[in-house]
Amino acid sequence: MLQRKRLIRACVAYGCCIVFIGLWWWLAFFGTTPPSTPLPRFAAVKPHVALPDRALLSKALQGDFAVIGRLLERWDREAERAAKRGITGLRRLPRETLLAAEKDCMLLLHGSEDEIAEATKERLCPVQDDSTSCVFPSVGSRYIAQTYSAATFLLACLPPEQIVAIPTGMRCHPDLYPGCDAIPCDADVKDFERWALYEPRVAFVAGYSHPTTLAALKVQEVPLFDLSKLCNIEEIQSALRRVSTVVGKPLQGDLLATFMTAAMMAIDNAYAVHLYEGGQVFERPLYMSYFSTFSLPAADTVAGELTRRLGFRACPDGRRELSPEDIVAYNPDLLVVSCAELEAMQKMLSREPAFQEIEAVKKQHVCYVDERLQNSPTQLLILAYYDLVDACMGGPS
Amino acid sequence: MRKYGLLLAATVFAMSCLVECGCGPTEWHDVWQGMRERIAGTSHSWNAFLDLRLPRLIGLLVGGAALSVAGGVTQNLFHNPLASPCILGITAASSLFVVVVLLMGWHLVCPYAIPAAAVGGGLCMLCVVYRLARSQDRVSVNQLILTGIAISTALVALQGAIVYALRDEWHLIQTITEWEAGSVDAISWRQVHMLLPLAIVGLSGCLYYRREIFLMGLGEEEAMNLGVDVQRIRWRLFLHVALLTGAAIASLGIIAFFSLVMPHIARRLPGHPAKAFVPSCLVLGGGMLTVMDALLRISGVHSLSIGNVSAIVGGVFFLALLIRQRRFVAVGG
Repeated sequence: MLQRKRLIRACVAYGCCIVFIGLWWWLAFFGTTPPSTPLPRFAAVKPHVALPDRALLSKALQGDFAVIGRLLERWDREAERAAKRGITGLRRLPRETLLAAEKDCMLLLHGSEDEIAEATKERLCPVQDDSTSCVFPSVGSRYIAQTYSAATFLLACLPPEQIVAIPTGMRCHPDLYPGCDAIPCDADVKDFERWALYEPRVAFVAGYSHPTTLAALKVQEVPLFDLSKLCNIEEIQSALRRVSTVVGKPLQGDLLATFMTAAMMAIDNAYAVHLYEGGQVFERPLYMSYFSTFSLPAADTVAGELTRRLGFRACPDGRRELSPEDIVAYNPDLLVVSCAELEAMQKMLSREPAFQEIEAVKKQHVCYVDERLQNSPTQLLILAYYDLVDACMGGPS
Repeated sequence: MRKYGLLLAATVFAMSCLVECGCGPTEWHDVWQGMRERIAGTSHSWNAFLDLRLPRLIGLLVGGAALSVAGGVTQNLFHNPLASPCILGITAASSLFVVVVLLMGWHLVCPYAIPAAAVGGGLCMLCVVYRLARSQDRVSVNQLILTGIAISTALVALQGAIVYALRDEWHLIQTITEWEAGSVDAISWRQVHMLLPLAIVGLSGCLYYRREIFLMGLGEEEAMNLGVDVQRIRWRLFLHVALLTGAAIASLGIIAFFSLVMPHIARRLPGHPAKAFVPSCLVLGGGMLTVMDALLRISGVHSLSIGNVSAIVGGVFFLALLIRQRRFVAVGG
């Protein structure tokens, strides 16, 4: 009898607790009205045609030298035409740089193997500043890329068969890094024995590479090439040139680096034309990413540099985290959100009551950009810049 | 002297609450205006105080109290001053479940996924540990500790394996790192609604059993001799600890050392009656976490989270306590 009484009391106590918690949650979470304005998709403020074709740009950055040649020529012509219309502040490659790039392009596309080898040799010699003898890499030498940056440079300059290993994660994004399937090893799987079979000539590493990997490569007498500091465009271009020289493809490296400069100029010119034609100027643009809180890009990153260049809000007193109150107080008129999952991020923002208060949401000036590009210290940063300028010009997300 | 100490503590706490409610980029005039309009029902606009600072303050008070009480109850139940909820593997399980949620991206689709995972993980772990430690209808403390540590180690290793396998997904690693650092910046009413009912049930249960908690702190046999049904009460208190820990982890992330250190401070309060141990932990935990967050806001150190500060301050404080205790023993006190 006593046992039964106890059991009933325990059941009632547990039941009351469960009902209390369940009722609270039910009242709090169900039947609540959705936010007053669902977060809209980005609506174009003004349709624009001035920006270069993104697909072509992407192809060129992946090492399509025919496209590079075409685009260099076209951008120069467009800048000339725009200047004739009286638009100021336009930028073009210096004439001799453009001609040299076009010449390299022609050589790579139509030159014989001997001609390319000769030009490559000429370009390699000045690199040896310390008057040591120049070791020309033999045809078919293979390389290990421990970092995303090095792997992206190598994929643009070399056939995939000459690359031994790349970071595993690159294989998940064939749209950005095509040709990864032909690369036999993963740089973060420490299969040193398998690497040795391919007799890599150089391994491209960084200060943050795993010490065990570095030690193993040293034991295998594979020279290490450090690519640690890649925070801005100049450093990336310089790294691209150095990597391409090490792998014996200085023509390709020079051409890609010049193309990056020309592409930045073409995008800037498109923005200048947009402003000249009366396009909207955003006074308080805000760029942010979301992990478990919202944050601004750090100053010494590619995203930090690109957003600074376009006048986005920088970190006040070095603080990167943004509370909803900070965002409401800043009241951006353009909101650019860097994310990997577009739909999930849209849903999440639509549920944040604070976001319904800001001008950018009210005026439908919210844009989502591809996070993979925004944080990529490679030549693909041009696509990141393209996306940001596209957002500033009122393009689709 | 005791009166002045209490007055000082109350003043510091009140000032911390003022900092939590008053500090922010929005002008106080605008905040006040918005509050008046909301209360009058003329506006439904987002308000910095009502929608951000107030839930954050509630989160801090309730989360701190929950962690502190959970730590105190665990120490008394295990009769071990170094015990904390992580000894039963509750923290590890909650953490693993949250990592899975972050990995699957469910937190972006369903905002309640993280709190639900933390609480669910804690409760599941508790049931598993209790079931495995049970033999012949009895559960010994030693068996519980060993089972908890064994499963906890396995879960930590599993979490490590997941993070290692996905180290290329830097977005995920960044999210996990931010979450594990413990932060109150993301607290909104959603988190408060998730936390509050669990904390109310957990805290009221602990307050209800405060006499039994005190007696069990003297040892199981003593408690049994004084009429405590040890097996039954222990299971119920474990449930409360799981609720409190899961709720706190869900809303604040991992606040290291807090649940371990707070009960020790509570025991050392001047004139502290042993039976008021649970209420002392409750008040002290809520107040201390609020004060720490307020100090962090005033100091403007943005590179540290409240979890980091708690771990650093807690570690140093705990070490100081141990040294003091050793000296006390050395002089024959």
